[in-house]
Amino acid sequence: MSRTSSCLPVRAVRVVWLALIAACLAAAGPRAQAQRAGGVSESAVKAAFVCKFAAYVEWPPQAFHQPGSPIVIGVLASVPMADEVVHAARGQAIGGRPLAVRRLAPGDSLAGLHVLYVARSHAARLPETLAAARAGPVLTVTESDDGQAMGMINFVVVDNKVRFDVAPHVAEASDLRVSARMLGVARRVVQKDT
Amino acid sequence: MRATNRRSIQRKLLGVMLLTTFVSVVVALGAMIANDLLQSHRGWVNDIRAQAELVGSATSPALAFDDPTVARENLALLRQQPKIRAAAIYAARGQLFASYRPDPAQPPLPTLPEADGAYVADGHLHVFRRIVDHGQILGTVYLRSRYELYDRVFDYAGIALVVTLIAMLVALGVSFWLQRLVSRPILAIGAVAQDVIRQQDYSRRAEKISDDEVGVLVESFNDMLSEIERRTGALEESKRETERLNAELEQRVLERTAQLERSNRELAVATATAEQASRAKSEFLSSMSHELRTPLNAIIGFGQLLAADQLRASEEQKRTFVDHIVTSGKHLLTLINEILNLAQIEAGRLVMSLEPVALGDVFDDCRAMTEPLAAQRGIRMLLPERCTLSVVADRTRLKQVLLNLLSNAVKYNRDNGAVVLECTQAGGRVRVSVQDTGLGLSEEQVSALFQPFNRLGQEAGPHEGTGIGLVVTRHLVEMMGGSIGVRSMPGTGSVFWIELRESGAAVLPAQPAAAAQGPEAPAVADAAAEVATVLCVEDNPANLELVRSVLGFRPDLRLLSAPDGRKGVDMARNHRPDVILMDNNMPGLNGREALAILRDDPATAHIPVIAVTANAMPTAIDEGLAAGFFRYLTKPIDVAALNDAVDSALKAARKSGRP
Repeated sequence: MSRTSSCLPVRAVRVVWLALIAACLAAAGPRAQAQRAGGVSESAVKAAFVCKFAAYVEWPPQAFHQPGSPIVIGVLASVPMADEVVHAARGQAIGGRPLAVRRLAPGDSLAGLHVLYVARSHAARLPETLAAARAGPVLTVTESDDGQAMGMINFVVVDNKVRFDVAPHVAEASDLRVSARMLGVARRVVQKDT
Repeated sequence: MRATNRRSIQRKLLGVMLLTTFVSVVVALGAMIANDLLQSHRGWVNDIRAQAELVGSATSPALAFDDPTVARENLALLRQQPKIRAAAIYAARGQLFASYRPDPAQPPLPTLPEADGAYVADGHLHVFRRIVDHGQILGTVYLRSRYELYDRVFDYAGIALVVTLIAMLVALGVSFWLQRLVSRPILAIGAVAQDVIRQQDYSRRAEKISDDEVGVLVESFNDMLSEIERRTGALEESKRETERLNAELEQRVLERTAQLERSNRELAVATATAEQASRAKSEFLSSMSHELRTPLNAIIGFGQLLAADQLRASEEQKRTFVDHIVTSGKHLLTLINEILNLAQIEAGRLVMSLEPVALGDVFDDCRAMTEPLAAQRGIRMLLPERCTLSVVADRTRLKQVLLNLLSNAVKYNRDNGAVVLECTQAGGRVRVSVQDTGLGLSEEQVSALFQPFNRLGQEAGPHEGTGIGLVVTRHLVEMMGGSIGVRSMPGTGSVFWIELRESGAAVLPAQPAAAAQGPEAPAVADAAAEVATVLCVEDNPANLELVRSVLGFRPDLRLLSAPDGRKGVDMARNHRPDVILMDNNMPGLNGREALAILRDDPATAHIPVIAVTANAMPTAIDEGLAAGFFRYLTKPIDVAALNDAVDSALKAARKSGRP
């Protein structure tokens, strides 16, 4: 009852409070993001993202041997980075399928992989790697700069924040379907012509 | 309670209808609205939950990839839903991830997310919804929606009010329609009943509209009215009858009362008349006593003077005394006769024999009788020499009337005056007027003229009168069917007149008998040759002595006397007298009886008997003559009449008896 009452002093106090809170938010917003960006390492964020991408991508049925087969994430990156991915994928399951992380070395077979993460440090022979990956339904995730070869999903850092671009038509070429929902949070959706 | 009962059925029905309608409408509407509100609430909650689900679903990638901008953009899409006032996305750890607050005036967003749920507070619906993606809790969606239930309640209240009003109006209409079905017949009965009571018109009938219980009520009511009408009619009929009887009774009482009053009045008049008559009688008696004493005074006084020897009165004086005695005696006799007349008239015993009478004869008689008296005072009598008129009258009484008027005219005239008798005829009546040249009469005197003993002019002169004459005269004239009147002027004289019916018959010739009576008297003197015997039967010695004195002067008569009837009869038988003088009132045998004895005896039957009696009533005279008396003489004895009667008897006796 007392909540619905709207006496003038109460409302005035409330307006004042709102103004204070808004000011705090405005001041704290970017700093919090910076803290988060700064607090949580970029590699950890990327590791988490890599794990989460699987949730928005649909593989063809023949990609899995059986219903409970794990989603295998291949990581072609430095050890700490690979550790981060392993850490992020631990205990995670998507659609009843657990996540499995496979540390890769350059030149390793890509067979049985569902997701391939190629870190910047290991992008020297990226186009070949990507071409090899096209042999199967593998979601490729890269960290390329603009103008370079890139995978279906490409991490970019914007304002100290990790964002990513998506090229759905590339994924479709590998018989993968990227969820439109993920497209909504992508920084850029790369079209076929570009 | 009483007020409710008093209210009309119409209004009660209306009230019941309206109340029922109101209750049902309110209950139905209430239930419907409550149900609708509940459903609405649920719908809203579900709707907002779905919204939250959608938002959460749409925002889960943003959460997953830590993109508040996208989340904000997603929330901004809620702009299309104006009822959503605020929205927020909280990250999995509870910190605010994105918010939507188009109206800054809105209350601040919750700082921390709450468990899944929906609740209403501050007029808003608050919904928290976990964002779960692939079994992972990504965060929480918070939606704050305007809670429209209260608006809807107001809307529904308005609609309910309108619907209720319409329903009431419809119910009103329906109840009016129903009233015609139910209450109208009852009200009609009520109206008729009120009319009946107000106008007392029991011929009214209620109209039967329906065949239900009310119809039965109408029939019963009408039957009851018929019964009342019948009884009222009977009651009024009997009331009218009673009133009629009352009126008749009242009428009869009135008539009786009127009769009683009339008879009371008559009785009062009769009593007054009787008292008047009694007073008049006693006045008359005292007057009569006085009138009788006056002449007796002269008679006794002068008689005593004559009887007194020591008074040596001369012969001249004695003769004067005797004249006074005789005059007074005659006056007394006249008085007695007139009283007798009056008594007879008043007793109704006077018999009139009305016949045509020639006035001329009567005038002649009157002239003869009054002229000597008039001549003494030098009064001229002017009577019509020849009057051929005749009237219907009793001859004797007419003469008495005229004599009275003429003698009055002479008596109350001045010396050397005149008396004029005139006779005129007009319209079947004959007027005879007697005018004198006396002092005349004042009006008072005229009005008192026909009262007994009211002798006028007594104070003015020494005229003697009885005072009864005019009274008797008036009676006589009226008995003959005539009238009498007087016209007088003091100092000049009076005119007394009488009017009588004229007789149509021819004038009768003068009666030869009356004319023959005159010369009969002088014939007495012839029979002086022999002495006749006269027997006088008289018990009164004075009267006997008077008769003896009268007849003693006659040498041709020898007088015998007897003191009573018995002895008289004996002496008549013994002495065979020629004439008998018989008194009537005697001890033992009275005159009538004695006469009968004498008539029965052949020896005495032929002797003429002359009655000499004080009984002067005319009937007695007639009866006496019828019984066989030769003559009927009344006392006091007139000497000449006595002589005349004796002579006549002697003559008759000699003629019929022995020669």
